[in-house]
Amino acid sequence: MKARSLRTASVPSRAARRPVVRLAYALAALGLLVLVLLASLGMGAVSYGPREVAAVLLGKQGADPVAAVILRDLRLARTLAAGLAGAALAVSGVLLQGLFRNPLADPYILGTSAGAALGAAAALVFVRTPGSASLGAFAGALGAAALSGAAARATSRSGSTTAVLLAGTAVSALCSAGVTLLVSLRQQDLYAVYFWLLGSFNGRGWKELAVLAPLTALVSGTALLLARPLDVLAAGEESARSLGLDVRLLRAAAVALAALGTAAAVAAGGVVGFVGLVAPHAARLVFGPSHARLIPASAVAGAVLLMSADALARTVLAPLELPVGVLTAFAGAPFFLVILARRDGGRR
Amino acid sequence: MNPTALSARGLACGYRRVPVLRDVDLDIPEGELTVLVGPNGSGKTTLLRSLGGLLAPLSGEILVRGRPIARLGIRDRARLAAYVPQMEAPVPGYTVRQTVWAGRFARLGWFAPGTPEDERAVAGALAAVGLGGDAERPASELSGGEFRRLLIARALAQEAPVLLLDEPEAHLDAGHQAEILGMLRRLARSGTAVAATIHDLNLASLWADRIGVLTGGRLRPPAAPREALSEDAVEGAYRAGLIRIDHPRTDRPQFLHSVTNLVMTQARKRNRAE
Repeated sequence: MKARSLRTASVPSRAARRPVVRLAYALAALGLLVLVLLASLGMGAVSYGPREVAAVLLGKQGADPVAAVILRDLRLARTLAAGLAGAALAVSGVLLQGLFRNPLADPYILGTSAGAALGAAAALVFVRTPGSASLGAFAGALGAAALSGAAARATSRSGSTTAVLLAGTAVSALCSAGVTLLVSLRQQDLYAVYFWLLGSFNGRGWKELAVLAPLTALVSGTALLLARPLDVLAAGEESARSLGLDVRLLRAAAVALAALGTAAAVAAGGVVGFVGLVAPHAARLVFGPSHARLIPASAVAGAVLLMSADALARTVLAPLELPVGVLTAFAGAPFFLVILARRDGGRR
Repeated sequence: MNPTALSARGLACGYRRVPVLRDVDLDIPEGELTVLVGPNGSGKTTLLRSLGGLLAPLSGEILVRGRPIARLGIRDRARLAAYVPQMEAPVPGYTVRQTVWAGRFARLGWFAPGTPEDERAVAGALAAVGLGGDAERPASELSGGEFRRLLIARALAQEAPVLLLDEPEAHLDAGHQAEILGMLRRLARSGTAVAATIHDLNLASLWADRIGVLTGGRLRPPAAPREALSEDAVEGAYRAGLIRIDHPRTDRPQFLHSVTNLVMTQARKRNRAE
């Protein structure tokens, strides 16, 4: 009881339990999403004020035709791609953090990042057609996750969660070695591979969105259906089983969804780090651990984070464009440390 | 004896094909508190996990309400037998109410929305363990005794006819131990078949309707405390030179440590070894 009064003020998720406060937080999050989307559209080599952005988006007569091309055809698609990729990474992160019951789990824990890198590198080295890197990354990410899952089943009779984790690490190492081998054999492709891996949404258009949007919607929607089993699993694998949860089925579903979400995001924007790790933590801080709220909140947080990072990537050192992964790491790592410090402070 | 809710026949259980227990025959009747005692490593938890369907037996059969547990689906099993682990790490952020809602999973499944009936079951389970006023508190802020009651509430929310508990009194002070055991007996009296492993012989003797002693890889079939905790049975299981006396208020046996007895017991053990 005495600990209770000490902690009340410092844990926002406690306040967020009151429905009115929760609704206010949810509306604020959505407001932030729209704000970042509009601000991000205005930012770039040529900047536009909110009025011009609104005029183009609403299709008003008399809007500047150059602005219309830049905003509608280039920046809108790119910004949406960054937002959706951020959401997909964040939802994948929530799924895996819930599955492994480990706050340090991120979407790449299944070997998806290294798999995507290998796929993209192979495409850049051998195929060299536009869009082949994305396709290679998508196939590589899914392949690596599938390999991790199969290896986990092969090495552990019960297919334990730890086995998935260890298999993911092994597959990661294998794929990274593959990338290194490829670029050492074809050093002229080193730059292309390296910059692809750092991640960027430069030049992403409606074609990429046509794949990314439905996949993100599918992954997020299905993840939301797993909210209750994930909450049950939070009690631990043995307790979850005693409560009637088929842990193996949930593990398969969560891994498959996370792999798909990560593959879609990586195919669109390269291997962008930290979003899948940080966004769920930020969401958890405000909305608490219950997955029915955490999953949508993480999706919004991931979208806000990656859209902001993309906007900054193309403006901070304009006309030079930074790889977006550099920014998410620069902003994400300190933010992550702050969250950890706050969380442990709340526990004491 | 009341009708049997859970029974085991010819059970061998253990890990990786190494049996910890063999030839276990056990009936857990409705309306009674059945207690399993035994020294460390005697297989109390192993047996309880097997009875709860969490550990597949090496051989033998377990029937819940006459149905073989091995052939039940995982949720069907959870609707018939609820299991309370000895301890569980509280998850930061989940409230008491949210934690107990997990007990409804066996009824609701993955997707079905909660109904007012589920709300009532959760509220009833919280009230039964005296946490009705703490529903909105974070589970991680509960004291040790409160958290143990929370785990029991979650199991009660499963509304299973069989309730299995692994050392529900462990690491609690005398007051909280009595509170938990009193609660278990009340639950049993309301018709549930309750089985618990208990570390403390004296508590087991005071609260149990029947006691089964685990020793040497076997289970002595549960009997009334006076019978089950005979001096021979207890000495055979624990080899601690305990002195048996009758409780001054009830006729149930209680056990006292004795340093001289212990020294003699150990000397006998040494002689036998030589």
